[in-house]
Formats: sequence, C-alpha cells, structure tokens
Amino acid sequence: MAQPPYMSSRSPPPLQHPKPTHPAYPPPEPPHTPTGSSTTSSPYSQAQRISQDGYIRYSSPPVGESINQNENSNTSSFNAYSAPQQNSNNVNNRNGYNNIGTPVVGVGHAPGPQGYSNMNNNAFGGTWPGMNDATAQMGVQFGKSAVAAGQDYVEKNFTRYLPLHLIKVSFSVTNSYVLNKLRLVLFPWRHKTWSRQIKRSTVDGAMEGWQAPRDDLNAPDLYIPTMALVTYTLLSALASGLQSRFHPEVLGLSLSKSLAVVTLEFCAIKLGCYLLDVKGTGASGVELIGYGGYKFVGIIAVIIINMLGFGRIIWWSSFIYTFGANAFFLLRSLKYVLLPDASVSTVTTTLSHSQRSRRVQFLFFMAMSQVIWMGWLSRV
Amino acid sequence: MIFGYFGNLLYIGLLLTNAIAILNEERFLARIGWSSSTASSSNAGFGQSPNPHMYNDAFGQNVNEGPGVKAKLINLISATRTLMRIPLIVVNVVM
Repeated sequence: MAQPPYMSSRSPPPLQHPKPTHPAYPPPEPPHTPTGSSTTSSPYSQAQRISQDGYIRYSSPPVGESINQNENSNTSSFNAYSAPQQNSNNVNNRNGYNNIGTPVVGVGHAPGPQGYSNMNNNAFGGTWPGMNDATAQMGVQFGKSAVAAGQDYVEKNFTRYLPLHLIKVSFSVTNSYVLNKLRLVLFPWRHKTWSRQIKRSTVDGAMEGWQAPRDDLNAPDLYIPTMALVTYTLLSALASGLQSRFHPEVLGLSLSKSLAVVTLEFCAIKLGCYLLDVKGTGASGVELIGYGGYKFVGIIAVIIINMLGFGRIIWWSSFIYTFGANAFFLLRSLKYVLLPDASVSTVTTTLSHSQRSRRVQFLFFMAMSQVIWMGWLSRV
Repeated sequence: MIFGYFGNLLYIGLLLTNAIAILNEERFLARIGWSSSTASSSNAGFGQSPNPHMYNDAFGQNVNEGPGVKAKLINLISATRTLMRIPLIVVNVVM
C-alpha cells in the first residue's frame, strides 16, 4: 500500500497532542535497529525508511496493525471503561502517539488515512469509545434542554410579532354575539354602554386584559371582519359579473384593495397613537385591525342595495347612513384607546386640555376618514 | 403588479421610508429646526430643567404634557434614518 506523496504532504497537521500524563518524549531508540525486522512502527525507523527510499512508504506496519495500534492508543487515552483489546503496554501507546504527533517526521507520517480508518472503525464498530450509559444520558439530556431552549426562544419571538393568543381570543365568538354585533355596527345609535369589560385575575383581582368577545359585546373580534372581507370580495365579483365585466382578476383585485385599506388604516391609527403619545393601555394591534374591519359590514349592505337596483337616491342615502353608523361606532369604540377613563386604566394618566382636544380631533378625523375608504370600496 | 393595491401600498411605504431616510441632518433638518440633537437635549433637560421656558420655547407646549407631536416626529425621523439605513439598501435592491 504505497501512499502517494502528495496526500501525505497535504495531510492536515496532527490534531491530537500528547497528553501531559504521558511520558514527555520517547526514550531514544538504539540507532542501529534493523529496519526490516522490527514489527513495531517506531517513528525513527519510519523516518529512516523515508530517508532511505526518498518518498514516504506506508509499508512498515501493516494496515490492520496500525489501526489496532491507533485504536488502542485512542481508547486508552479517552476511555477507561471499554477497552476491547488493550495491551496496556507503554511502548505501544507511545508509538501510537508518535505515529500521529511526532515532530521528527517532517511530512507528518500520514495521519490522514489512519485517522479515517480510525473513524470508520469507530463508527461501524458498534461501540463508540467513551460512550457508556451515563455519558449517553447526559448527552441526550443536554440535547433535550438545548432544543427546548431553542423552542422557547422561537416561541417568544414568534408571539411578539404574531400574537397567536390574541388572535385566538378574538375568534371566540358566539351566535348571539355575532348577531348583536352586526346589529350594533349597523344601528349603533341606541347603544348605551360602550366600555369594555375588564378581565380580572382570579387571584388578586388585578386587571389582566379585556374580556373575550364571547362574554362582552363591546369587545372587538376578528370573526366578523374576516367573514365580511371574504363576503365583500365575493360580492364585488358578483356585482361586476352582473354588470357583465367579470374577470378572475376582479377577485384578487378587490381582496388586495380591501387588505390595503385595512393595513393603511391600521398604520394610520398606530402612527397617530405614536405621535399623540398614547401609552399602550388600550387595544392591541389585532383589535385595531378588527375595528378597521367592521366597515365591511356597511359596505356589504351598500353593495347589496346597489345590486337590488333602487336607483341613485336610495344608494346615496344608504351609503351615507352606513357611513354615519360606522363612523359613530368607531368613534365610540376607539374612544377608550385614545382617551382612557381613569376608572378603567390602571395607570392614571392626567391629560392636559390641549392634549385631550388633540386626541379628540384625531379620533374624529379617523371616524370621518371612513367616508374615503367606504366610498372607494363600495364602488365595485 | 402581482399584488394589486396591496403591492402598491408596499411600494408607497418603501418610497416614503426612502424619503424620510434621505433627509439630511445638517443641510435640511437643522435649518428648519427639526434637528434631533436639539430635541434630545431638550428631552434630557425635561423635568429637571431649572428653566422650564426652554422646553416651552422649543416646542411651544406645556411642560406637563410630555413630548409633543413635533418632538415625536423628530424622534421618528431620526430613528428611521438611523435604523433603516442598511435595510433600505437591501430592500431597494430587491424591490
């Protein structure tokens, strides 16, 4: 088995250093060792052979023997538990180390193939050196804890940007809630109490959020906005089909139009809250999206009235009515976000007069801007 | 345009962010009095300032109100210019 010289010259530097427990350097061998008769692969004889032949020959120990030696050295250095064929002779050990790490042979004495065969031996031999039960248990436990920590990290960052809990809560609706909420959106004039109910902690009665829409009519949900958005998309496609100008692009276009409106309104509310220095005691982003989505209910009503074909006057009056209802609903619903009551909010914020009037102006502007969105969306 | 109006909205947001990010601190913002350095110094002196009129003069508002709309806008602009400079390069290349 002749080793090509380029491989041995390119072989990486030896990775294993001699352990300090080991004798520091092998005792010098007698210089006149007959090379052919020695079966132990001593580095000196190897160096001699190299110098004699002019290139490295991997002849002196047979392959299996060298592997055995190497494994012996490895197992004796790493593992005290499973020693399959350990001879525990120091000379062999030292030779194993010197095979790998001797500085005398400048070209490195082919640690590459030996290391590979060693690895293969380890991998396919069945028993890993240094792997008994306790170590395996520790490794498995460490891996489990690392994976759990990673999952926690991912979940924490995931829920920060996508609040799954809030989304789940805002979809928990009942039939009576949906009916009452639809009536409230379309006819908000006679509704008396607009404040949301606080969910108190069962332990100490501290405020820990708002009640779910299942229990509170004034709580915003996402069920009605989602369904209204899908219905609006289909209805606009139907209306354009009735005018015999249906095209499959109409579906995507109206959906993207409505999504753009919802996103834009959400961004406007967020920017207004930032500029007016509204501290985050009110609604979350999910609930703000929900408030923005209630306008689709009125838009659907307008589209249906338009499809029935009553004429321009009926259409205009219905549009103005739904716009007024939606603006009033939004005005009353978003009031607790911008102008928190002292009884509701845990942090008693004292608003100065100019700040309060500015917030009221912003609220009114947001309510009045519904006419733009609804007018744009209801033209199908 | 694949996404229709929604993609247009993304484009508008990107262009607006670009427009905020290219506002020059010395040449433009300081000239119209929107420099973030003066705003930050005023905010640092807020509450402990022996002369509350300094804050009044800077923003024309009551001391009890906290930072006003203009201070918030200045803060937003400086934050955008600081934070979005590197990501905007990537986003502009991609879109």
